[in-house]
Amino acid sequence: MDHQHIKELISSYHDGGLSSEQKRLVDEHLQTCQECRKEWEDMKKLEEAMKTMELKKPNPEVWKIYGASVYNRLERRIGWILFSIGAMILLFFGGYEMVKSIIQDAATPLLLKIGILALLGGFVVLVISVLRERLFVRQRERYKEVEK
Amino acid sequence: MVHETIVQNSRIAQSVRWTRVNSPALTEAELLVLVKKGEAKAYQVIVQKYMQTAYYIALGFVHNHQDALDLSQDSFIKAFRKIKSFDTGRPFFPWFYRILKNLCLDHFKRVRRRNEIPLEEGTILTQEKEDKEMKAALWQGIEKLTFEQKEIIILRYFREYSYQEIAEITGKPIGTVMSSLHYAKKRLKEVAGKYLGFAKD
Repeated sequence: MDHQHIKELISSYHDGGLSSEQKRLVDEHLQTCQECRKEWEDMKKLEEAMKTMELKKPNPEVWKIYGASVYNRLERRIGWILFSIGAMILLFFGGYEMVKSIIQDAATPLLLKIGILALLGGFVVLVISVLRERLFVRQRERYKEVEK
Repeated sequence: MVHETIVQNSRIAQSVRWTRVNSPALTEAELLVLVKKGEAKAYQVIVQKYMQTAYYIALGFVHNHQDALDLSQDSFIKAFRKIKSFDTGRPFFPWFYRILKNLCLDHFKRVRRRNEIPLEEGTILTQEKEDKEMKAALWQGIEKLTFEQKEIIILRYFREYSYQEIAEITGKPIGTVMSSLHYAKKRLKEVAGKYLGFAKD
């Protein structure tokens, strides 16, 4: 049994990480190896110290409202999504009606008509471009969840 | 501002009936089947079960109460949105943990980009007078570990998961968990050695 392997086992000795067979191996080795015996004692101290480490507890109120807070944020998200869809439909509809009336109006100068059409064309291209980029990013994002 | 929202929400919370649902006779897998059908009430039971674990793991990673709270709640929201891709035949927590871990990693990237220093760094441990220096040294040691070593230390010592459970949660073989712990402890021993009263070589 090599030294390095025994040292790895010693790291888990006081931590409940060893099988009884592994423990027996370490115990046997410790009988004859002073260096590992010291390592074993140091690890024991480290283990005891680590067990006293505790993360600060937040105000207990936090737990009482935690779940409701998650729900509210979920609900708010749904609210925002519905709101945006509604706003977009209204905007498109209103815009469409407005543009139609301007274009159809014989009194509108030709240059203004061309300007409006160019503006609309540009807007559509921009929306499609942004949507396509978003979709592409989302597809790639899936890989983020793959373990490295 | 977020804090104010939470305080406001606490009043709403009292009127929301299902926030008080306590472990009904359904297993976690059964609950998750309901969640997949869009039952927010069932999801609430899952949130209650894992909220503390999620919060403390995030706290271990990001060192700041408010960020840990936000990130853990964001993870529950993201998990709910992605629940369709969850396999109900498998345990929930390892799947959820990946979402939480990724959000924490994204948070690190953002913080690093903005060059911010976390507000409560070093003060997220309980402030006891005794062994203060030793604890500070250990905490600094934990800070210097690689992310993989740190996550295992957090799961083992701050959430008390067994080696087997850590292997399941992180999706790593148990041998890898063991050797990560070995190298992490070696590092901690070096930085906190003088406070631990080690015998001379």
